[in-house]
Order: sequence, then C-alpha cells, then structure tokens
Amino acid sequence: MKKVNAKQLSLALAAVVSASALAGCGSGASSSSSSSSSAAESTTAAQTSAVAGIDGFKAFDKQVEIQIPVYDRNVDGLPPVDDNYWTKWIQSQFGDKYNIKVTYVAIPRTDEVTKMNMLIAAGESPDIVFHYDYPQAVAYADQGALQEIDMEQFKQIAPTYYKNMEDYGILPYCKLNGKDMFVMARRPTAYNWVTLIRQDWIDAVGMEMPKNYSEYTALLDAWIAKGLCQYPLTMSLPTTGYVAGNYPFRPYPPNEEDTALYSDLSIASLTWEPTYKMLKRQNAEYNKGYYSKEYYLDKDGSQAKADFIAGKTGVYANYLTANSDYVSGLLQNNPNAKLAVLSPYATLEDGQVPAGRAYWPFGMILGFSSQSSADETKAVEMLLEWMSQKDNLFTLQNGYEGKNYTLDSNGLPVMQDYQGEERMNYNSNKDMFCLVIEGKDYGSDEANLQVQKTTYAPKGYEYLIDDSYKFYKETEKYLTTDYLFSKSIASVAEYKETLLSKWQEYSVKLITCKPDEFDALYKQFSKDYLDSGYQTILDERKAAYEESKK
Amino acid sequence: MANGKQTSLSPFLKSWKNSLKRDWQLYLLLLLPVAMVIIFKYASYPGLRIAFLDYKPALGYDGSKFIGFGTFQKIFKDADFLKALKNTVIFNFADLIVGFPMPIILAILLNEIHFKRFKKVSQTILYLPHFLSWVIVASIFTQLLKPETGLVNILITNLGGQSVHFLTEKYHWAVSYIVIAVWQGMGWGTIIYLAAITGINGELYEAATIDGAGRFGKIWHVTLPGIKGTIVTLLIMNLGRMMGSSFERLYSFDNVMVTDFQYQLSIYIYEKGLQAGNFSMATAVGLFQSLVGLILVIASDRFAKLLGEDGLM
Repeated sequence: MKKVNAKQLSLALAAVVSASALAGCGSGASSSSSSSSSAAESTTAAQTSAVAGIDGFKAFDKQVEIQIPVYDRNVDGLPPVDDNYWTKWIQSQFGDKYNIKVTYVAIPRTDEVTKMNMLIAAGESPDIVFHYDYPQAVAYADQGALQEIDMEQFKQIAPTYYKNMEDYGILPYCKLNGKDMFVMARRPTAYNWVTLIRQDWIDAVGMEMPKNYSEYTALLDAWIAKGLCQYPLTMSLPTTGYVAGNYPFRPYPPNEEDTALYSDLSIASLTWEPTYKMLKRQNAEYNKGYYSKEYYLDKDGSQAKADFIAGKTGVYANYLTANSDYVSGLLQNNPNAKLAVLSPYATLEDGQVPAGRAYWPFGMILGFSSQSSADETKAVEMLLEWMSQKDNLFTLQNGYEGKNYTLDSNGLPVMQDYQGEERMNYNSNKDMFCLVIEGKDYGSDEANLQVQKTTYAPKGYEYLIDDSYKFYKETEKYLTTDYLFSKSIASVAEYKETLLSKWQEYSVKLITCKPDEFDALYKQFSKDYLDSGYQTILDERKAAYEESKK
Repeated sequence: MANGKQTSLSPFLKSWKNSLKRDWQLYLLLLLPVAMVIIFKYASYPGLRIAFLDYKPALGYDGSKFIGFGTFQKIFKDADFLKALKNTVIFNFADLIVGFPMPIILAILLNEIHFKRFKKVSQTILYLPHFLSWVIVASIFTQLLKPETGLVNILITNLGGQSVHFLTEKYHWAVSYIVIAVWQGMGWGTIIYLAAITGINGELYEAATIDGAGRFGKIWHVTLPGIKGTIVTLLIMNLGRMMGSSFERLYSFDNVMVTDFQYQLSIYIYEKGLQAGNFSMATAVGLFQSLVGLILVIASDRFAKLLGEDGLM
C-alpha cells in the first residue's frame, strides 16, 4: 500500500485549482476569458448612444450577468444579504429593464479579504472588487485583480457618479501610479460612532461627566469602590492595525511625515512614541482592574457587548443603529439604566487635544475586476449610475413611504420600525447603497442630523445622536486624515497579516504585564516587530513620501 | 476471428479480466474512493507549480513569473517559518510519544473486560469524542477552562486554590492541548488494535495458561506480539504525519497568550499564504511538508524491514 501523507493544504488548493479548472463549465459564472470576443459584440449593445447617462441606456441584446459583492455581517433575524426583497428590487427595477442579471455575492465582513482572494484565485471574481481601506484596495490592484478604468467611458455612462467624485474632490484619489484604478463612493459625515457611558452610575456616585483624564479615573475608581461594576471599561482583542487610542498622545499640530509613516488603518504603529504612551496608560489601567482579565479571549467584541448588556461594565463604544441590540438588551436587564455619550475630553491629560482620525472624502473604494468582460464592466457602470439617481437612491435608502418611513414637516424621512416584506436590510440597506454613498445626505448638516436621528438612534435615544453631533462639531478642527500615497506601498500587503497577528499578541502582552516589566518587553517586541517587516514598510513609505515632496 | 484475438491477449490482461468478472461488485465499490483520491490529491498536482512562480491569481499560471526556488529561499530565511517548523516538530513528537501508546493500552484493557455489556458501553463512550469536530471540542474546553469565568477555575478558587491558566499560559496550554487530543482520539484509535487482537489465535492463550502464564504474562507474551505488526504499520503512518499540522485543531485552540507554541506550520500557511493572498508561499510550505513526510515514511519503512517487520511498501 502506498500512501502519500495527507497534505494540509491539498484540500484547499485542490478546491481552488479544480474550481478554476471547472469554472469554464459553469453556466452562470462570469467568464474570465471572453473579454476580447465580447468587446467586439458590445459595439452593438448598450451605450453607443451619444446621450450621456441614464437617458442613453439601452438594453443589452444578449443578457449580461454581473456579480456584485455585498457584506454579510451575520446579523440575526435578517434575510440573507444576497437574496432579499431589495436585491430582487434592483433586479426588477434595473436589471430586467436593461437585460442585465444582477447577482449578489455575500462576502463575510470579518473575513472579507480571504474570501475575496479565494474568489479571485478561483477565477470567480465579482465584477466589483471593493474594500473600505485604501491600502487593501491598492493590494488588490497590485495583485492584478483590477483592470484600468476607462474614465472617458465611465464619464459617458455614469455622469452623475462621476460628477459626485468631481464635486467632492475624490477624483485625485482614483489614480494609482498614474493610472485610473478606482472609483469611489462619497462619504457624508455620520455621527453614529459613539462611546456610551452609564449616566445612572455617574449619578449614583454623585459625580459629573468627566472633563479630563483625572476626573475620568476618579469616576471609574468610585464605581469600583462602590461595587457598581466588575470592571469599568470594555476592551477586546484588536482586529485591525488601526490604533485609534494613540491620537491624544500625538503631537499637535501633527507632523506630516510622521503621519505618513505611522498613521494607518492596516498596520499598527507599535514602535511609534504615541503608541508607546497609549500602551503604557492601558497597562496601568489594566493593572488597576479597569478591564476584564480575560479581554484578549474576546476576538470579535461579543463578550464586551455582553458585559455591557449585563451591567458588568459601564463604558462601551460601537456604532449606534435604530435597532442596536446593546441598548435594548441593557434596558431589559437594567430598566433604570441611563445612557450618555462619553465626552471626548474624558481621556485627555493636560495639554492634550481631542484629536482623532478624519475620514477621507470617500467611503467605499471600488475597482473593476480584471476578469470582467467589456460588457460586464459597462453593466456595472450602468448600475452605479442608476443607483446614483436621486429617486432610486432615496428608495434604496429609505424604503416606501408609510411602511419603512414617514415624511416629517420638512419633507425628510423619519424611519419606522417596519417588519413587513419590504423591510430594510441591516442599517437601512447600507451594505447595498455603499457602492455610491456611505450614508444619507439631504443637503445640509441640519437635515442630515434630523435624518440620522431616526436612522441611527433607537426610539427615545435621539439625544445621543445630538450629543455626538455636538462633540463632533467641537472637535472637528482637531481631526486629521491619514497621508495618502499615490503610489502603492507593496510591502504593506505582504506583511499586513503577519504584523496584525504580532500586534494582537504584543499589545495584549504589553497591556497585561506587570508595570515594571513593561519597558523591557516593549523594547524586545519593538525589535521583533521591526524585523518582521515593519522596518521594510517604514523604509518604503519614507522613500515614497520624500519622492512625493520633490 | 474472435477466438484468435482472445488468445493473443497477454496473460496479465486475461487474469485481470477474469478477476473483474468475478469481483466486479468490489471494484465498483472501489471506484468512489479512487475517484476521491484522483480528484482531491492527484488533480491538484498541476497546481503545485505555483510554488515555483511568483503567483498572482488574477494573472493565472501562464501570466505569473517563474522564479524557481525563490519562494523557498525566502521561506527558509524567515524567522517565523523556523519558529513554526520547530513548534510543529516538537508538538508532533510529543503527540506521538503521549498519544500513540494510549490506544494500545486502552485496547488491551478493553480486551480484558469480560462483562460484555460494560465493554460495549465503555467503547461507545470512548468513541464519542472522535465525532466532535475540533471547533466544538475547543469551544467547550475554552469555556470550561477560562481563567476567571471558567467553571473549572471557579471551582478551584472556591475551594481555596489559585486559578490555573490552562489555555492561556503557554506551558499549561501545551499540556492541555496534547491531553485533550489524546482524550479525543484514543477511543477511536483502539478500533484497529481490537480488530487485530480478535485475530490472535485463541489456542495461544490456552497454551500460555497451561504454561502457567497469568493475566499480565498473557498480555505480554501473546497479545502484544500478536499485534506487533499492526503497531509498526500504524507507527510508520504516524511518522509520515510528523510534518503535518492540523489547522482546525490549532486554530480553534488559538489565543494571543500562547502564540509562542501555537504558531505551527498550518497557522503559518494560513496567515502568510491564504490570508495575505500569497499562494506561492502556502504551496511551497505545503510541498515541503509533503516531501519531508514522504521521506520519513520511506525511511521508517526501511527501518521496520531491517527489524524484520513487513513494513508498508
């Protein structure tokens, strides 16, 4: 008997290989090699008309199938993200009209890059390849997964979308190494990322909303002394390299070169001074009993949420949505619980400013798959333009009047808790409309605030969005964007995953160690982190930064 | 004419034809597993060439650049790879030392039970864990063994002890990791040995009894020599897995406190190869594992033959 031992990888690879070998037999799969032949045919199909935009759309002679990715956030109690009322609505309103079959492909939000890479490797790439983080979008381009975008054609087919990119200053970001590689959805400001604090506990110890770090720690110590909580703060294992907590420790005004080198969503800046100071503070907090001793076992934040709901802890940050389960759950357990938005000043020591990350003007970054045929790309551009039309977007974002929403006196939609057939997917269909815009925009800050109150806040908690808005406006001037390289930093994609798992390990060990061991450990981990690729990234960024300044 | 053709068939083909006619049902049964092996093992062989390419999925096999052993050179210089390799070898060796004898001991113990019903019940209970996937096993043990909120540690602290970091301190983790695997696999492992024991001629036991052998004497002089061939065969097959590492098992017992030990080849492949989309690297490491496994199997087979055993090949 001859037996070759079981290779760990063979299954995965076999699946990939055979999938790509069989892809040609699949009836529905978007064929990856037909671009040349269909390019010739496409001259007879849509978009030969001289009229730009949606008025010039014609149905394709032969049905074109496009595959559109959609995030699956694994939210209980909602219909499947790739097959629900709204995906069918897109098909019936848009697809059937132009002989396009729109297929949605579910991408697990927490494992999106792996999933997307698998699809690309198997030759089954969706026609849009997207990601929120610019470095990852660049990584897709570097892999050859994206085609260069013919901006003249895009402008012809999708003038509304194009104009948005022009008006909001997005166009310059679409170029990579001098070529048009991306189109991007615009991003109106949202005020629903909030850090909540238990106002009833603040009252219980007779204190007020803290205005600086020493007041904050005094409050937390009082909670512990009074036995209100098991541990006052929530913390879980970091899942990205985004180190949000180091902003207050950064020098203000920020030094552009430092920002370019260290400030980033994908690679944690372990060796940067502000990160050192942040970790040092967190280490002190951990040793004072502010966090759960097991926080690092919480890989997806679910334990943190459960602790907040159970009243074990009193501070919790998350996106607020109209059906936030952590608000309803908390009230079920503690009917007397009162919530407030934690002041952004509470974490600041003397001389620090409430700095933070400012968004770029764009939201979702879209690339067109290099496996798409010319017709498929056109169909995708038509979909983007169609979704950018005011009426279509309004319905996709708000549903139907009298069911999903009612109109207020100013003609703005007020979202209702509607559970019928036409109910919205997660967060008002955000994962569908994110292709063209990241939120709802009705022209002015005031209007948007009104709409966000009913879109993002549970009933009776509209004041949270108000407070969040107020704090945002106060601190807006201290927000800085990350530096955006117009050239791809190849080492980022190569070392990203390795450095993330090292960041998870090292940050946890640094936070949970004894205070007197901190500095020795930090030194040791920093060296290893630099050796594992961070130094290469820093060198490449520095060279690119200096080149861009010439 | 037909007759003339018949006689010109080679004797080999003729006998093959005959046995096919006689045992076609058995061959039919064989078809499915053979197809499995061909599709999932051999059909992926052409894909192995991506270990020698700078493979970009979007460019395909032909579009990617050939770089020869470049990927391998890079891997062997990578400190993380060396760490993963070291952990893999150490843990597989520990698994072998601790895990391999357990089913043999257990099979002999079960064999000595004469109360039939008790034997059946014990066997079933021992098999059960094998049918739980690692994800389930790991989540149960992780919950039970959590340092602060796990049932076991609550019990220990309430009895006045210190909480033990079974799965969150690397040395404790190493022991728990291996012991849990023994618990999960030993019952299932007894099946082959029990079958081998059944095959031992009963007269040997009678003869041993007449010669005055007690229970242990019979185990030592009859049962163990009787299943020696099986033990050697299984040992060789296990040695072939020395380079392997179960991704499912490692990944489900993962937490940042034990990365020093838990970081083994399958995790390395997953992190650097699949998550980062570097398929060349993943394939190269997989190929390396397979080659070392093959060499180990052949070497141990030769060694077994030197000792006068049958071996595998």
